[in-house]
Amino acid sequence: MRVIRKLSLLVMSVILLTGCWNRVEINDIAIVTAIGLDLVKGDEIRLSLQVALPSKLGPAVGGGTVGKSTIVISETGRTVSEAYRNIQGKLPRRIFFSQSRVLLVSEDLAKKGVSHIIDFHTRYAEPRINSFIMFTKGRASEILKSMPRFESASAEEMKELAKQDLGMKIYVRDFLNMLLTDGLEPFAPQFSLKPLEVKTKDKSGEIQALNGIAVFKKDKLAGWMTPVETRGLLWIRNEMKAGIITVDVPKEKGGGYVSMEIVRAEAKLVPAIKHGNLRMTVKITSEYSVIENDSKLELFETKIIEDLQEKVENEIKDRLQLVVNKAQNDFRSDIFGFGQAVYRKYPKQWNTRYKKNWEQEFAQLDVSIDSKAFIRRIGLIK
Amino acid sequence: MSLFRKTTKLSSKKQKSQQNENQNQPESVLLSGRLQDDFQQIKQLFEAAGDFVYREIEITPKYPAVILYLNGIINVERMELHVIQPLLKHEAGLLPPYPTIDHFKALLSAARVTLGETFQEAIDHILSGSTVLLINGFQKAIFISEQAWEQRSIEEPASEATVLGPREGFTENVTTNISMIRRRLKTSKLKFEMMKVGKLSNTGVVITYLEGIAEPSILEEVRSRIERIEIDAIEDSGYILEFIEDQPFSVFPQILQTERPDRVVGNLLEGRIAIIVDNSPFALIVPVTFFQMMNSPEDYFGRFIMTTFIRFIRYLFLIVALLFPSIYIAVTTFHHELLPTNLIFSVAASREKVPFPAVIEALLMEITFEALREAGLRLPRPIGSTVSIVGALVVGQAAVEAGIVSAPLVIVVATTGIASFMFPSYPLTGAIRLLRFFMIFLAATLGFYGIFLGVFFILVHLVQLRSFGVPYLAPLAPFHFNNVKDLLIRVPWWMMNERPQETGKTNLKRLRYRRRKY
Amino acid sequence: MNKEKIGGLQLFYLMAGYVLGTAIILGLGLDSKQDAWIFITIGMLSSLILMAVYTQLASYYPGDSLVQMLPKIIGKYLSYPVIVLYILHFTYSAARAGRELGDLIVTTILSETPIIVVIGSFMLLIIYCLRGGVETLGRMAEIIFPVYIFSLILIWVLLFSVDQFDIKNLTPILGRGVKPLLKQTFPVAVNFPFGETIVIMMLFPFLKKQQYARRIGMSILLVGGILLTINSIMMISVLGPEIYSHDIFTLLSATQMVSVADFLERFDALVILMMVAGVFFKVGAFLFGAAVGISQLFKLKQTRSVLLGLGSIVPPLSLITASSYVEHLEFGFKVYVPYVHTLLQIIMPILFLGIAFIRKKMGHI
Repeated sequence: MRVIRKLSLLVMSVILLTGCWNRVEINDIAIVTAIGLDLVKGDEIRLSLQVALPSKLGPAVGGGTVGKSTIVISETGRTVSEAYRNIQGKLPRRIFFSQSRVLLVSEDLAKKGVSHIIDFHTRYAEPRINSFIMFTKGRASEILKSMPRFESASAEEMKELAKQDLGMKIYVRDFLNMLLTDGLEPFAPQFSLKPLEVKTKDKSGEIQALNGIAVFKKDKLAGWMTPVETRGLLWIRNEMKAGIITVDVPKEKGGGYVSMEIVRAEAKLVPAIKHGNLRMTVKITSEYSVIENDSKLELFETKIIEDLQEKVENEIKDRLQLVVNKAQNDFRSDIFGFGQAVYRKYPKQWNTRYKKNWEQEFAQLDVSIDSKAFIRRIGLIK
Repeated sequence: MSLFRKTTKLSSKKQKSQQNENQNQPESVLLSGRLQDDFQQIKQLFEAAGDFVYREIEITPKYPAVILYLNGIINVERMELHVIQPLLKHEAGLLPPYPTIDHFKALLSAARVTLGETFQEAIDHILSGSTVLLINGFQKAIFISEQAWEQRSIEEPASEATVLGPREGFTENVTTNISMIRRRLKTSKLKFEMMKVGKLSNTGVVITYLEGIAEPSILEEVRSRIERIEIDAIEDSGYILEFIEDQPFSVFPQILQTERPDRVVGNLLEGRIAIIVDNSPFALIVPVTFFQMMNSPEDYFGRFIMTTFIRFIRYLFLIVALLFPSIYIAVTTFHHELLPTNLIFSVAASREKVPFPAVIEALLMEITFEALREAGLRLPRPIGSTVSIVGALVVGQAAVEAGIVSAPLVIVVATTGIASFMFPSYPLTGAIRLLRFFMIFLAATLGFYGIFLGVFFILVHLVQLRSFGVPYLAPLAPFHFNNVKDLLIRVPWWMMNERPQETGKTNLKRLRYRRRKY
Repeated sequence: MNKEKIGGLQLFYLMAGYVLGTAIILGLGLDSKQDAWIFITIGMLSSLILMAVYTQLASYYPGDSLVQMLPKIIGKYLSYPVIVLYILHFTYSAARAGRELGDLIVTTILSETPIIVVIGSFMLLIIYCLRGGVETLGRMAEIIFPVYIFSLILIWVLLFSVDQFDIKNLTPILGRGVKPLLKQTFPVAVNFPFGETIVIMMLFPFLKKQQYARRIGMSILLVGGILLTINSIMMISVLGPEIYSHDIFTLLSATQMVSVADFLERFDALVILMMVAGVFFKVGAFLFGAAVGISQLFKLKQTRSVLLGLGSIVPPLSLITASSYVEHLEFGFKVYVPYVHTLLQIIMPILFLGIAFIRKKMGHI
């Protein structure tokens, strides 16, 4: 027994001493904060990485020279990983993806299809599946190069921006889910640079902004939606969490606007098959609180409130109809998940009848919007 | 490494008591009764012993006598008063014409006077601080016990200081120590079994227990293990500890060392056995469990809610003390993805100029910390604190500024250092400190996987460990619901109605009710 | 004859951890998509019948392990090959569990470490533990299982905070009808992981209170099955049925989604801990079963040297049986679980019970 004990000790110490296969010191990694992907020369992928420079990021030791806290480095390749290996050849430190929370893809590349990007991002262990995926109309590398205003790296700003409830928050994982799920097409926010101030002479600089969404059909970009349309999509996807809705008060009632804050909003997709015809009803229930009254209306009156509620309902209905029409006619892409709703309610019919040519079915789907609005509070003054 | 050691089988084979094995001495040779012969023989034995004193007196002309003692360990004044004076100045007629030894004994006014008839006894008594009186014509010697030697007064225990509770600690004198226990348990059930260990030192070892509460089988085991000790001298209870521990090669202490009489009493009441060793202020308590080592005596004096909270903190920092440096290494060299982005930036920035890998850096700091600790201990107290301040603040600050170590690591090492002083048991602190290095190696090799493996190894070891047959992790594994009352939480005293299952089986009920009666 | 004993609760912890073991990380019924939880429930319920068979056999031959009772059931010479088959099954299953752990570790956190080191160091731990006998194994279970369950529940609670959490992902229930589901369920769902509890027959002789054997066996399956069911519901709710069926390590990817208040995130280490603990139960029980089986077969006095032998076989075995993880999983779910498991865990025990029953009737026990 004693020999065996000594032997196992030896084995253990050998394991311990010769180990350190994966050991990479934290100051030997290049921390990627954002990934950008562009299409160049027709079919090559250009991978741009925003890499943090820790010496510029940490607490200022000894003087504290203020410089750029990140650099952008890029290389091309036929696949993402090939480009990644090529970049590694230029970087003295080991590329480390796990801290990156932003994946930016340019329009040209998105039009060619993004499934291989998603695959790399989910298959390779390092990149996190909960990084935000966003698309740009211009070049992704340009946006990566933009200067951060608030955070230490511009990628951090992108991340924080994406987290806000204003727009869509789409993780790579969500994108993959939408890609894989039948009856649901992917979409993701569009990201762009906007001037800091508008309509002033002072062109002080640019800041990143979410600007509508990119709509996909399968893994290919089908088109873009404006911010207003995006809000319609948010409504239908039941992801409306915060926002302002403004209604126009007609001239005969004194004119002006009333703005309301959304307190609670809920959407329900109710498919129905009647006489072999599929109908989709989008049921929207929302609650509001008035925050600005620019009109002559006396809000302290039930009838007027009811009147306003009807206006809100119509406003929403119009908005949503607009989005639905665009998706059905322009993109022919079911980003709302109508197909999924059908599948959940009528799995048999879906499998036998609709699944195969859902694209056509969706384009011709009869969609009605049923909006209900309640104004619960009118604020602190009458 | 001890991890592969097999549990020693309990066996209660009786061995010859080693007390009787002293072959150099005139073993159980009877006194002859001829004063000069007996006296010369003893005198020969103590020939070059400078502290050996004898005085020849004449009680009556017919009965010359010799008083023998060792200078310095008896109270000479009392001896003069109670032995020499009565013998020399006794009123005539007190002694009958043909007195027996008992008549002489009656003359003495000392409190403890006994008789003996062998050389061995006489020598033992001289050595342990009695005065021996040999009277011509009697084959018996009179032993007068008037021990007194210089000793430390009772002080506050240094290694187990508490805010609440009694402040007296054991001293080096076994009699004082016994008295401190006796004062707390005024019952005849409290037993002190005396034994002698050490061929040359003849150190008194006292097995203390409460009859009817202590488990007889464990008691028998304790006796036999102590009897089997073969050594020339015992200088401290630590010697005994190493002889009787179940798994000597384990880093974990399996015997509790304490200098607090209240802690001994508390453990006696739970059915445990205390071993008090002469000349040692540390009593040994067996059998003990890991969780007992984590409990401070103060836990039982303070209010239970606070105690429970403190215990949570203590166990939390047990994990910190054991794993914090290794987690830091694992995270900074293997799992960079586990750090929040902003944190990784600042850690990376602080490590930018550090020339060493994180493991080396951590080892360097840990070893330096251990050195500081040791140095602080050795130095005289006023200087000691200076050293630790200079070491911790100045050297640490300078090292960070020079870019030799990174600031986060200093935080890690300092936190770990503080955490390792939280444990009430000093030997346990040592175990945790050693294992910390083991964990650092594992973390540097296999990252978090290594840490988990290491923790599992430690757990397997702990689970196999026994202290005098009692599982070390009891009552967690094996699990006893009733005893969990004094594990992580401490229920109030009036709810602790049972003694621990492992040691108090013989007399489980402690309180009659599990509630307050008013 | 056995001095060492295992308590009822310890056995329960050990085997419940064993049932959860690898299954909870890998995810069960991946092909059934949103109906995976039904798949698991059916598997659990039908395995209760199997457990009844196992415990009935144990009650016919009290104090005997599977290896000891087989010669009494089917005769000395016929029993040898069968026993060897079971020992091989236990050993190979231990190797499989080890491989799954190794592959999780190597694909996720230690991508450049040789897998043999991962499996080898783990096997050292197992051997070190099993050297202490069933008592040590039981006590380890007693300590680890609560931590394991706590981690699992913690992860579940955290999963509620994930934005994507949507219980509607479970609909439509039985969207493709009952038949295809049942087809997938039998016998795979019964065999893995529930049928694997046959190894408990090697542990019954060590149980302190034999009369509770059946109760413990049943509660192991119920608790393990219910936890697995809840887990699959949580996974599907977070990941969606499509990703659930796509992912290799579902619990890990679900956990990566957690982000509470932007600060409490990246609980990957917790999943690794659960995997190590789960495989510890699994490999521990399998290897113990195999070692006890071998020593009883050859009437050895101690299992220690057997353990060392087995321990050194398992790591290479886990690697040479499949060159890639894909091959490993394919062989597992297409060949081993449907056929070998069915034979050893369903058909044979029922057969043995039949023979034992007849023997009992005839009074030959």
